[in-house]
Amino acid sequence: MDEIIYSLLLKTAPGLALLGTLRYRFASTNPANAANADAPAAPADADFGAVLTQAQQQTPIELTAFQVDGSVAIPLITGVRPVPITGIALVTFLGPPITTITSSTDPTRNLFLQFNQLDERHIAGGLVWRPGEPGELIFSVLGTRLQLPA
Amino acid sequence: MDEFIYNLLLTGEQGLSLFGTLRFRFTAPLAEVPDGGVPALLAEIAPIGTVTVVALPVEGSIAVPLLTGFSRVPISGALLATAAGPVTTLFGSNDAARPLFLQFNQISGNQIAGGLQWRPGQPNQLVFSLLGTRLQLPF
Repeated sequence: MDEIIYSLLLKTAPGLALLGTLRYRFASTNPANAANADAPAAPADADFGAVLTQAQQQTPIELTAFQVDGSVAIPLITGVRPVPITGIALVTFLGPPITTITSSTDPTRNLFLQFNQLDERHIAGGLVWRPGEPGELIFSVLGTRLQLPA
Repeated sequence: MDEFIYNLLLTGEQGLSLFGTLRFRFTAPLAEVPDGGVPALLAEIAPIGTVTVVALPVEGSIAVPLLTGFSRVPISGALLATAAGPVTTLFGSNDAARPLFLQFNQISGNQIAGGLQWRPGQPNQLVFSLLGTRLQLPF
């Protein structure tokens, strides 16, 4: 079993929800395997560690990291005050951000947020809310940019 | 105006929906975002470093019956990873009649979260957030 399968819950900004399935596998990164497409490219259990070992043969890409600071407010779980967050945006050479990884700087309201730019107006990603250990809530996040008048 | 503000719709695994707000800015003493948008902004502020990632080719399929129809849409893309673990995964459709773009991140041990654009760039484009829970098939 070299395939990774996720059942999906998709949601639009107006709240339309759809279910789906995602299946994928690592394509062959080894030229010897590429010649023999029938050979499974990924390890038998689709283990990330082993796949990453294979990756050391790949040409690395340099991403530039920029610090970002901000806040996130979700009134029903964080309370009314926004939670301060800080993190990094990983950017290709002057291109759009590939992904932005942030976490809370308020130890009493712990959260982790990673999001990607989908298009000019939308971001999408995931948020882990950890009010205390153990116990966490995991959300997908869809953000629509507000354009404030200048 | 150097702050980015997003209205958020959060969706939990069981479909619980919450609203929120995200505000952030790139940490630099800037009065406003230059005309060129984010790329021009980034050209003006100092990065805190670089991260080396490798791109691993991945291929697969996605099925969202009410969107894609019953046959699965073939997709291929790349996983960007550092030595410490995966950073993000990007996919594009291989089916010209059913274009889509998909990017997600590993958010916990067996869950992914990200977004999906259906018919990106077209007037009838749809944008979704996506929460995936990994299925462990018995052998």
